[in-house]
Amino acid sequence: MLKRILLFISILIVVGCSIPDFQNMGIPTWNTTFNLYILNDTYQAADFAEEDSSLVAYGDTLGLYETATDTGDIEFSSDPSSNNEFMEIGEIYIDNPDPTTTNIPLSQVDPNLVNGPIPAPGIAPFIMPEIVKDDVEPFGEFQEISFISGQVIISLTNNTAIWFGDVNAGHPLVVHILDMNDVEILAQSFSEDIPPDNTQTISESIDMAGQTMVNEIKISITGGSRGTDGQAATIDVDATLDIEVEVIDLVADHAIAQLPVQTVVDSVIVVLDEAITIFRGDIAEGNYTITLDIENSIDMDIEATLHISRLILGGETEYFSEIISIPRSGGPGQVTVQTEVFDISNSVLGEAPDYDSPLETIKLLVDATMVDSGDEYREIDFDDAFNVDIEVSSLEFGYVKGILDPKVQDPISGSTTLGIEYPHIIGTFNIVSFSTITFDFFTPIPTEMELEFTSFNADDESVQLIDINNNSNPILDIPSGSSEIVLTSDEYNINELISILPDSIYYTIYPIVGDSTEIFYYEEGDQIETEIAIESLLDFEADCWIIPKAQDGSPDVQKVNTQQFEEKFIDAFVDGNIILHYNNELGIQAGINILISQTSPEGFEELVNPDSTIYTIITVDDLMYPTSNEQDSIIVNVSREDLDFFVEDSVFIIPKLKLFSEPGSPVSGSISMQGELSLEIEVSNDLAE
Amino acid sequence: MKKSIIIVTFVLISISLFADFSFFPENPADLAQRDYSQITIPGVSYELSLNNTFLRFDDLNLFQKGRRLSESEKNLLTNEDITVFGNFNTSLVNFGHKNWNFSIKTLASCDIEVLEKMYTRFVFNGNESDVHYTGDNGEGSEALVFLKTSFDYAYPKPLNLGMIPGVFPSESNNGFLSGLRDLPIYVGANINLNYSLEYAGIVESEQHFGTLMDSTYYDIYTRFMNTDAESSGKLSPSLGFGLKIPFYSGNFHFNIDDIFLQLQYKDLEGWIYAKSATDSLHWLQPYNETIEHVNIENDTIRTKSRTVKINPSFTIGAEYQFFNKLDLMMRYTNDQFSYNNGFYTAAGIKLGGFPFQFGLGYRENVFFQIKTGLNFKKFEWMIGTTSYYGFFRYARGFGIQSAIRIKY
Repeated sequence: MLKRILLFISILIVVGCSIPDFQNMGIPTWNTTFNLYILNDTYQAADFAEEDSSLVAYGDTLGLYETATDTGDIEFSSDPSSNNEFMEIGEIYIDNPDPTTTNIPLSQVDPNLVNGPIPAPGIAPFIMPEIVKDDVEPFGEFQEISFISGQVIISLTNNTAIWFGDVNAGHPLVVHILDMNDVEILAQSFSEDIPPDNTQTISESIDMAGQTMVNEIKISITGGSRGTDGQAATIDVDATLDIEVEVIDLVADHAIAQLPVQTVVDSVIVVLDEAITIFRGDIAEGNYTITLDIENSIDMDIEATLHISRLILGGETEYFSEIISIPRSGGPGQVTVQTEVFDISNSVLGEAPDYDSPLETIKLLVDATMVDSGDEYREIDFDDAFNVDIEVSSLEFGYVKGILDPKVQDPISGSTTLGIEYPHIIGTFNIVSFSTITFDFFTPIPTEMELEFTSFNADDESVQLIDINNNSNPILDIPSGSSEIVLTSDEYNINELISILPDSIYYTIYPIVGDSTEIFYYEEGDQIETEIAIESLLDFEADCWIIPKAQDGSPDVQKVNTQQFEEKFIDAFVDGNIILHYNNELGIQAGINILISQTSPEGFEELVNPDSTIYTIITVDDLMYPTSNEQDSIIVNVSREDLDFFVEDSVFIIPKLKLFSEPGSPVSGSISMQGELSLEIEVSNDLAE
Repeated sequence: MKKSIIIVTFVLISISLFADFSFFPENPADLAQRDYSQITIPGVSYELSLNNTFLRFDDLNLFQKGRRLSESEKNLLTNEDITVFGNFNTSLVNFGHKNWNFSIKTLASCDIEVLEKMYTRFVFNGNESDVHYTGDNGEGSEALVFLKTSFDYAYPKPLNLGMIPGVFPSESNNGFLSGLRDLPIYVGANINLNYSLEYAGIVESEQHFGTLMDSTYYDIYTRFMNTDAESSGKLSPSLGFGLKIPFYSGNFHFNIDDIFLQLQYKDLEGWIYAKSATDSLHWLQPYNETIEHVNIENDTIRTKSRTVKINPSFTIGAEYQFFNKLDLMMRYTNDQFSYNNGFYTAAGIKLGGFPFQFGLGYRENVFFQIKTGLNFKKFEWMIGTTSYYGFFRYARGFGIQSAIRIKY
C-alpha cells in the first residue's frame, strides 16, 4: 500500500514537473491598442496675425493691414525779377540870379548935347543910334540857360532929360540883349515911352520859354526918342538911362549854372514771380538780395532815399527805407556806375499788419535829391538821368501766405514690405473683400497728387493700382491741411493688387503743389506728409491647393530622420487611426494631403498631381464648415503600407492643404480640434530585440 | 529522460540537507527531550523560498517566441499584481548539547511589488483614454538581511500545571482534572541577539498618468533608501519561549519567538526620483512649448535610520504517530521570515533510514511540501522542496531546504 502511494506520488511529481522550453523562451506575440490624445487646441483666425506681420486681427476676424509713411519736401521760390527805370532830372530849377544893370549916359545918346538948360521946345524927337553897352555885369548864377519857362524883366529908369522911345511916331524904344558875339538873344520893344527925370521906371517882361540865355550879355538900345517932348529941360549929359535886366522863375531844360538842389521822385516797379501771389512772405535766411545798379549821368551828386513799401527788413518795424549817395557823373556824356546790394533775407514782404492784400510787385520809390553844386557851374540837361536797375533775386521763404500756381515737386517714392510668408498656391485664389487704401495727407499747400502704386510678388508678378472706371493712375486733389482720402475696392483694383500675394508694394507720388486759387500758409520745413494704410478683411474666393514654402521659395519639405525606425517597427504596426473632432468656424473649408516620399521634390509642379509611385499620400477628407455649437469628426486611417518609406534612413514629408472658400465669409472665428490617436501594434519578440 | 534528470537536479539543486527533520524546529522546548549533541555543517544549511503572485511555473510556457497569446491567456497574465516574496536563511553556526543549543543564522527576506496588474494590462491590452490612472507600484517593497545569534535552553524535566499553586486541587477524583494537572509540560526559551546588516526599500512610490482630452501626462515619484558602505547596523535583542506537551504518542507544541525584535539600520543612503511631463496638446499654437517637464534626481539624501519592527513569530500545533510509522502533524505558523506560514498539515513516514514527509499548507493559497533525506542515528541529511499555490508546474513559487546534521 505504501509503495503504491509512493509510486503515485512519484508519478505525480514527474507529471507535475513539466519543464518549459527554455531555449525558445522569449516574448510571445500579441496585439495591443494604445490610445493617446494628441491634440486639443483651438486656433483663432486672429492667431494667424503676428506682431511683425501684415496679418492683423480685427476682433476675431483676420485681416491685412500694412502702413507706410513718407514725406516729401516742398520747394518753391519766386523767380528772379528785375526792372529798370531812367529817372530823368526833368525841369531844372535855378535860383533867380541877381539882376544885372547897365546905364547909358545921355552923352552916348547924342554926343552933341551939352550940359545946361534947354528951353522949350527943347530937344526934338529923334531916332537914336544903336547904343551897345558891353560892360554889363555877367549873371553870376548861370552861364547858359535854355528856358522851359521863365522871364526876363527889363526895367528902365530914365534919369535923363529926354524921353526914350517914341511910340506914337512908331519908334518905340527897343532894348536888345546880345551875347558877346552880338547875336541877339532877345529884343524887347517898350510899349510905352520912358519919361525923363526918373519919374517912372518902366518894366517890360519877356517870356523866355524856348529861349536860351547866357550869362555874359550886351545890352543895346534902339528906337526913337521924343526928345524933351517940346518942353524945356536941363541937360545933364552924364545922366543915364538905367537898364536893369532880371531873370526870374528860371526853369530850364538845359543849364550851365550853379545848380541849386534838384529833386527827382520816381519809382521802379518789379513784378514778382507771377506764379506766386504773396500776401505775406517771410524771406528765408540765405542769400536773398535786392540789387540796385545805378548809372548816373547827371553831373550832380545825388542823395537818394529808397523806399520799398511792403518790405520790412528783418529786425525792423518800418517799411524798407535806405539812403544812398550817388556821385555826379563828372560832366556831359559821363556816367558814374554804382551798385547797391541790399540783403533782404529774413525780411517780410506784404502789407502789414494784416497781410490781407496780395503783393504782385515790389515798388522801389526813389526820392532823389541832387545836391546843389555850390559855386560850381554844372551843365545839365532836362533829360539827364540816373538809371536805376533793380533786381530782386530768387526768393525762398520761411513763411508764406499766398496763392501758388501749380508747381511740380520732386516725386515721393518708397516701398513697404508685407511681412507675410505666403505658401505656394495652385488653383484659384482671389481676395474679394472690401479693401481700402487710406491716405492721410498733410500738406500746407493744396496739392494734386498722382499715385503710382504697384505690388510685386516673389514670382515677379506685379499689379498697378488703377481707377477701374478710367484705367488710369489715381489722381487726388488734396486741400491744404490734413485730409484723409480713402480709395476703395469698389472703384480701384485694390483686391487685384493684394490677390497676387505681394511681398512688397512700391509707390511713387507725384505732387503738384498750388492750385492758383486757395490761399495757403507755408512755413519753412513744411513737408508733404503721407501715411498710407492698406486694409482688407481676408475674405477670399478660393478653390486651391496650398503648399507651404521654405525660406528659399522651394516647397517646405520636412526631412525626418527615420534611421531608428526599423522595419520591425513597421511590421509591428497593425493599424492606426486618428480621430479628429473639430468645430470649424473659420469660414473656410480645408482638407489636407500628407505626401511622404523618399526623395525631396525639386519644385512645386510635381506636387500638383503627385505620382503615387513616388509619393505615399495620406488623405484627410475635407473639413466641412459646420454651424456653431456643432462638432463633426473625421477619421484618418494610416495603414502599414503608408509607412513603407519610413524604413529608409530618412523620409520627406510635404503637407498639401486643400482650401475652399466662397465670398462673403472672411476668415474669422476659430477652429477647435481634438485629436485622438488609436494605434494597434503587434508586440513580439522580434520587436523587443 | 532529459526531463527527469532536470527534475531531479532541480530538486537536489542545493545539494544540502535539511537542518532538522522536526516538524517544529524553532521550539526551544523541543530540546528538553534531546539526548544527544548535534552540530550542523555551516554554510550548507539553508532554506530558500521564492514566490510570486503572478506566474505559475507552467505559465512560463506562454513566453515562447512566436507564440500568440489568446485572450484568456492575456486575462491570466493581467489578473494579478506581480509581487515577489522571498525568504532565505542559512545557518552559519549551529551546535548544541542535549537541552541547549547555540546558533548563528543569516536571515534575509524580501517583499517586492514588481508590477501592478494595471501595468500588465497596459502591456497586453493597451490603455483607455479619459481615465486618470493612479498607482503606487512598488511602494512598501523592501528587502532586509540580519544576523540572528540564538541561545536556546530547555528545562530537562517536565513541569505540570499542578505546580502552579491554587490552580488545581492536589487531590481530585476527576480523572480528567487529575490528568490535566499532571500533564507534563516541557518548557524552553531562547534569547537572541540580532544585528541588522542590509536593507533596501521603496518608501514612497506614486504614479499618475493618463491621456485626457485636455492633456496627456505622467507623474512619477519614487523615494528609495538602502544601506551602503557608510551605513551601520544595531544589535537588537529578542526573546522567545516554547512549550511542548507530550501526550500519548504525540505532542502539542507552542512557541513564540522574536519578541521585542526591532531591526534598526542606520545612516542609509536615499534617493528621490521624480519625473513628470504634461503635454497640454496645444500643438496649433506656434512656438508654444506644450510639454512641461520636471525632472528631479537627488541621490544625496541620507536617512538617519530605518527601524523595521518585526512581529513575533509563533507556532502552535500538534503531531501524533500512528501505528509506530505514520506521523501526522498539523500546525499554524505565523513567521515573517518563513513562507511556510498558515495552516499546515503533513504526513511523515520513515522507511528505514529514509524519511518521507508530505505536507499540505494553506496561507492565502495552498502549498505542497515534500521532504526526504537520510536519518541515521548519528547523521541526518535532509532535503525538501515546496511548491506554492500549486503543485510543481502549477506552482507560483518554490522553496528548497537542506541541511546536514551530525549527532553525537
